[in-house]
Amino acid sequence: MASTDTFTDIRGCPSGARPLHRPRRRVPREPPASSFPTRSGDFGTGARTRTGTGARLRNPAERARRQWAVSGWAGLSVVCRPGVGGMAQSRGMTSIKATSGGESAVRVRGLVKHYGSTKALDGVDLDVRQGTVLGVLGPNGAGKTTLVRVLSTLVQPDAGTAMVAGYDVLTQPRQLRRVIGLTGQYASVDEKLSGRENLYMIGRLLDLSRKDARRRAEEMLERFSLTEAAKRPAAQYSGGMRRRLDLAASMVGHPAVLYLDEPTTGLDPRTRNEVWREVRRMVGDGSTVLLTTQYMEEAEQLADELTVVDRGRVIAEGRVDELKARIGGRTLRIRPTDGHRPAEMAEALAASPVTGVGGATADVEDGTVTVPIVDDDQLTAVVRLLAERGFGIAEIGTSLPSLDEVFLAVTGQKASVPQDPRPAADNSDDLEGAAV
Amino acid sequence: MSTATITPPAAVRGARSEGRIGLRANLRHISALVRRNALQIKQDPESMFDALLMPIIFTLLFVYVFGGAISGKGHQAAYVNYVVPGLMAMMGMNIAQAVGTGINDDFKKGVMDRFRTMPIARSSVLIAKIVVEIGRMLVATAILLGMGFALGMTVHTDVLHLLAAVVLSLVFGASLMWIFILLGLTMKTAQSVQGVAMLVLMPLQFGSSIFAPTTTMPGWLQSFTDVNPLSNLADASRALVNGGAVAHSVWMTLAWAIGITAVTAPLAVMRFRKKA
Ligand SMILES: Nc1ncnc2c1ncn2[C@@H]1O[C@H](COP(=O)(O)OP(=O)(O)O)[C@@H](O)[C@H]1O
Ligand SMILES: [Mg+2]
Repeated sequence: MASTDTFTDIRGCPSGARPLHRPRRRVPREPPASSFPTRSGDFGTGARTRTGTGARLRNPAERARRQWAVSGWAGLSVVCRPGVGGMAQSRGMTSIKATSGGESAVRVRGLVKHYGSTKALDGVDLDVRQGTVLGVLGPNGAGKTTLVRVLSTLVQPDAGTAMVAGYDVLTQPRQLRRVIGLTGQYASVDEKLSGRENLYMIGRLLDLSRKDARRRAEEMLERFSLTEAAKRPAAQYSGGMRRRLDLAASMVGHPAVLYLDEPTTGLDPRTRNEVWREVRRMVGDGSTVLLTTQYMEEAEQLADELTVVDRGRVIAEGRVDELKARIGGRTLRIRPTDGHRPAEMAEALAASPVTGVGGATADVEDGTVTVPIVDDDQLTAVVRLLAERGFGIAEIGTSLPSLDEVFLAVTGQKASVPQDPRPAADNSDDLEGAAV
Repeated sequence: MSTATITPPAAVRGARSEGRIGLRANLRHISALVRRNALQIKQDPESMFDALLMPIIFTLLFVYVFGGAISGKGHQAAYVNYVVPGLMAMMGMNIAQAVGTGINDDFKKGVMDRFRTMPIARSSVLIAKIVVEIGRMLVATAILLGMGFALGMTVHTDVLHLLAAVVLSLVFGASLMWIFILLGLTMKTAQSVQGVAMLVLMPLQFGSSIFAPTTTMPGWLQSFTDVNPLSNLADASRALVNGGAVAHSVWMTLAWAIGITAVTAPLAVMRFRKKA
């Protein structure tokens, strides 16, 4: 229960306490949206018949506020609760719940789905507030895809409830399908059709007129840099192109709620950035997004709030910056120049008076030194110290915590499934060959 | 623990029928999906080979290989008039069978997931498939009739009766498609769909009056061929082309078509809905 204690410190909840709501407003509360946006048939004028949010979001300042970087706009209430049985019990579970800023566009309670003896979902609760992005972070087999499939009416849950935009997944699937868009983990476009025909077909199925469907298809092709490949059958597309087409297809109808199941897994950094840009744009336009990912970096880039899942259970939830504060900032990796042993460097760092870098460890196999740091000043201090001591730096870079590190911080345990780490180039801003 | 409440807009609250797809929207969806299937054929023209070649090969095969034996040497021309209307029935069946493997294949692809999360009637995906297959049947039937005329078939009634025969086999073929769709949705692989389809098709086709009159068959087989809907269909089209009593066989065929559709279509749609 070590992790619970840590949480307790930060939150000020006595261990094992039941709900303690403590709204802490940092900015004035937004007026709650009066109704949910729905897919509108009127694409002709480019206008979307949305009430509340729609009008508000045309204001650029408001849009900017929805970007992930602007933190602290939501009021926060803290819920500490004891774990409920099984895994959660032993790990302890704490949730940090943001409760202001609007209604839940997605609301999941006690969702259960078993496949034989596999508990794909084992009592999942979560909320995605309207107009925000919820990141669902978890390793392979955590149940992310199953969750998305339940929420998009593809799979019937064994127990629990799920409401999307006010519609019940079980009893109102038809209405629900009008307001959602789905990009599954595996491309769901017609491979024999060209990119253009795929998007046109989706537009027609969403009741756009022929003209509007054609226009919207061109627009989406343009946005996802597929115009040149528009005529080729999707079967001839590269993985990245297919994923882009898939995303475009799920955005054709301006869905109010968009599910993205590991949208950038396996993509090159450029395509990934393109995907991120479009997701932000969708959110700027007022969509609510539920995004699953295995990467902390992606969650940080896109999500307002984060739900960490493992083995069908929610093991932590909260605002991204809150979780980040808990997990620690970044990890600094240094590769000494030849002739300097990582162990010596780590020792020197550990023995030095540089604040907060006592945790320097040498990775002998890798030939690097790892230093957890919280801010840029520490980075500078480390570099200066190494220069003073005459250590040569061959390579230096920082990276966000990996999923493993997140799990370690949140649960005190390793993730249940081994991770394949994302290539280093993807999530570290390398300062290669920094002068010493 | 959450303080959020969910209030759907008044306009969409209540009304149980809300979310149902109107007829016009449904037709629009079906036509978009028909377009999809047609474009697939354009992209992959080989998928039309069966509809193009089967009627040619079968007509030549039956008229020249069996024609002499059945109707006597030199009487192939008479046999053409016997077998071509029967082959019309068979053609529908073979093409209907392709729907099963097609649907099974389709399901392996992610695009089905997309369709099933879209606000369209789930049956529209199946109906579009059937519409396209009926188109393929029409092509096959046209080629078959062309072959028949080239080999000396004559219509003893009139064009309207001939068209009625064509329509009847299309209607019956469409009803069979639901069976194969159901099979395609139930079986794991396209191969097993094809295997089971052959097991069902062979006895139905050869244990019928398609290729030869049933009078020479043993009694037990005759009682089978008599209830075999394919015999009814073959008899009906023969009567429509060559003249003779039409009513019984036509009604029997229609009854079969309606019966098969009424039972298997809802099952197929249900299966399609449940399939996860
Ligand atoms: N259709 C299925 N049949 C059997 N087991 C399944 C099925 N779908 C998912 N599972 C199992 O449920 C668990 C969760 O899977 P999934 O939701 O795909 O996880 P994730 O998307 O987080 O990797 C896994 O152990 C997986 O093997
Ligand atoms: Mg998955």
